[in-house]
Amino acid sequence: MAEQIVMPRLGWTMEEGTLVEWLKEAGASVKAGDIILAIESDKALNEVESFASGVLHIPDNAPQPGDTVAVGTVLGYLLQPGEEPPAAMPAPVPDKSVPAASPVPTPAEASQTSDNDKPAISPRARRIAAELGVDWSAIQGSGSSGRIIERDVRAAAAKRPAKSTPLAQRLAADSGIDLDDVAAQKDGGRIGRQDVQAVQADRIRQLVAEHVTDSARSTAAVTLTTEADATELVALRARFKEALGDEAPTYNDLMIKLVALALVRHAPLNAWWRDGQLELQDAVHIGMAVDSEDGLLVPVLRNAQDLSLQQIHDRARDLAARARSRQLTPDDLQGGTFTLTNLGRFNIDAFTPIIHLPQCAILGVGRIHQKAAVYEGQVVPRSMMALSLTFDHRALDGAPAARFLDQVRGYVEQPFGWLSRL
Amino acid sequence: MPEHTYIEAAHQALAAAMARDETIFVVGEGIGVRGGNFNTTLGLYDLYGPERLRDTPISERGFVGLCTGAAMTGTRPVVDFMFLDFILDAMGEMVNQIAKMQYMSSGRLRMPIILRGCIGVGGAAATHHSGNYYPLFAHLPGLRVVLPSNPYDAKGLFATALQSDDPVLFLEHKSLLNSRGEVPEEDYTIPFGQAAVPRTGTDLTVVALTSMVAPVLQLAEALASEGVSLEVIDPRTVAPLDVDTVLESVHKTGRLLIVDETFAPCGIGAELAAQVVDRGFDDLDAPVRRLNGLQVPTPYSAPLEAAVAPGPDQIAQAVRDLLAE
Repeated sequence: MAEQIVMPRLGWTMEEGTLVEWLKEAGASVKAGDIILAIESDKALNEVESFASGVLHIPDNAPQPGDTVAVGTVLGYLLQPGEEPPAAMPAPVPDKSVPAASPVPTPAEASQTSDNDKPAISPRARRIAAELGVDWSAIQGSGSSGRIIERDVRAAAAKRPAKSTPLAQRLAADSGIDLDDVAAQKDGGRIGRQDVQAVQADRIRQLVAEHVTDSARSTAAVTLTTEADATELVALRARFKEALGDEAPTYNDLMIKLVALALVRHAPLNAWWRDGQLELQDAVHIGMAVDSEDGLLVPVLRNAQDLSLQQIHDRARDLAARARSRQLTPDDLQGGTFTLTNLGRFNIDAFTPIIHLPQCAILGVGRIHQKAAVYEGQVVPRSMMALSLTFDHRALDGAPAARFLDQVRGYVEQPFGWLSRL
Repeated sequence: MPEHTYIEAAHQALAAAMARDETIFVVGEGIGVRGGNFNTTLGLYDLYGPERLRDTPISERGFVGLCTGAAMTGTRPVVDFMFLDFILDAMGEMVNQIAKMQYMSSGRLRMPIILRGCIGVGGAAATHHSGNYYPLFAHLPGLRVVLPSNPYDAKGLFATALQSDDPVLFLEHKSLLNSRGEVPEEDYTIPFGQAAVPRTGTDLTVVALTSMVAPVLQLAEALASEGVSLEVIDPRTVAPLDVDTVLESVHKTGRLLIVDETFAPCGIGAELAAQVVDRGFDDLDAPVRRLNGLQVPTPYSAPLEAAVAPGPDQIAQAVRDLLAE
């Protein structure tokens, strides 16, 4: 007799679940106790173990990974040797008591799955918890013996966030924000996207504050400034613009590229300082400071040394756009080896940027503007650019930092030299 | 509305019924010329004479048997036991004949008999004059067991008993007999099996029986000033027992205390607790508690007597304990 594998009921309130993926291939031999599929309930991702043994048969018309189906829906079968698969998929049976398979807790929730570990709760409190959809397993009871009583459940329900929109839930999940925290800053009502974003903005402000304080306290920051003659770079940019229009590399793209090339030649600047050790990094991952509505964000453009200007242009534009639309993922913000910050468009010349730990240095790019300069023995107007390199003196000394900055200056002044290496 | 004592209120119902229905007669010791040890029949002898106010010797089994036969013929005897403790001498008549006769006759016979008497602890009356017994009677099929807690209910419930074709035990707590309360002059009846809710509240349900109703109401009043809201239920009859009203209340409060002067084992509180746990389990936020008198013969000594019945302090403590659960 073919054993049905159905969407199990993994909680009081679970009415449907999403088939995330099969962890066994169709046709695979399954033993009782094997983990066979992953499902997602309203609460968590769960791996489901098989109660029976047999060969896994997944009918063509069975729910597909990604499908959300009612509890009890048949997802597949376990067949005995020589057994024919059933002809048709049966309709879901709302089986509330005995799931065909049991959930295997993921490690994070393993500690609270045993029923014996659950606190005592009065029948009334349990009923009300069910009515209000409150998970009482973590409530601290205030009854005489620590029993959870009605008022504890009501208090928990009152603290719980009000309803939230699916978009808010996804945004909160993506950005690691607890909806409880959002509710705490809100006077009730349904939590929307904006509410989560407000918390997100606060969170970013806090993180920035912690980060820069940490850096300012722990680094031995030294800033070197120099002025580069960017006339050739301006000319190059003008040619790109003529040829490519909006697709032309920006000054920022050009700076990312030439800084990446300079870093390849000046390894101590492309490094992390951790636990008193300088860890040189092979790849150049440039953090690019972006001023977003929520504050400073530094998404990371990876492997800049290997990318063409066009690729850098595309990726930098994508990262900046996502930073401004709050769609960066945690991965986008991690792993930088060097940071570039550009205040040129605000008419800033030199400044002393703060190092993004554990990186060892950060380059501040100032404005490009025309100045009277001595060029080939003549005082002529030239497009000059201020460069500010802040480095951590714990990790490296002044001379290598100065050599690096001078290299950058050279690349700015003579872009055709490094362009040939693209 | 005029005030009357509990005894007077029941007397009004009896007098009115006897005036209307000449099949009603009273049997007992000292209920004739004397008007009853507790004035239960005062003045009625002058109106209806010894035919309908029939004094008896001390022979409970004899006159209960006599009234059983009379009820089978269609009259309405009221047996006045003075102290209900002496009904025990007529237990065979009561359980084997009165309670079973309608069933044994397939309903061809009615059993419209009232067995009345005072019950309860109080007045240093000693153990032979202090019994409650109603759990015993409520246990048996075929009997109505009525426990009025105030003059208004005494009149209305006695009027109902006087119209009942089933045997009724009408049990008047000694300590209530001279209690006063507003009683309408006109006739009225109160149906059996319908609890009174003399005070509504939200925090805890107290079911109080007969003499316990008044102290519980006083406590509820006192606790209200502390912000504690008690709901007080007086079942008024324990057979039939109005469990639905208690369940409705527990649905609201989540907590149930039963205060009953008589012994706890196999008592009304045990029955209520079992039914509430069964039918109202998901409403309970705390254990069901009972507060009962001690399960001992009632002492004659006044201080000892006071120690065996629940007093105001114990009731207050039981309420606080249950609220803290």
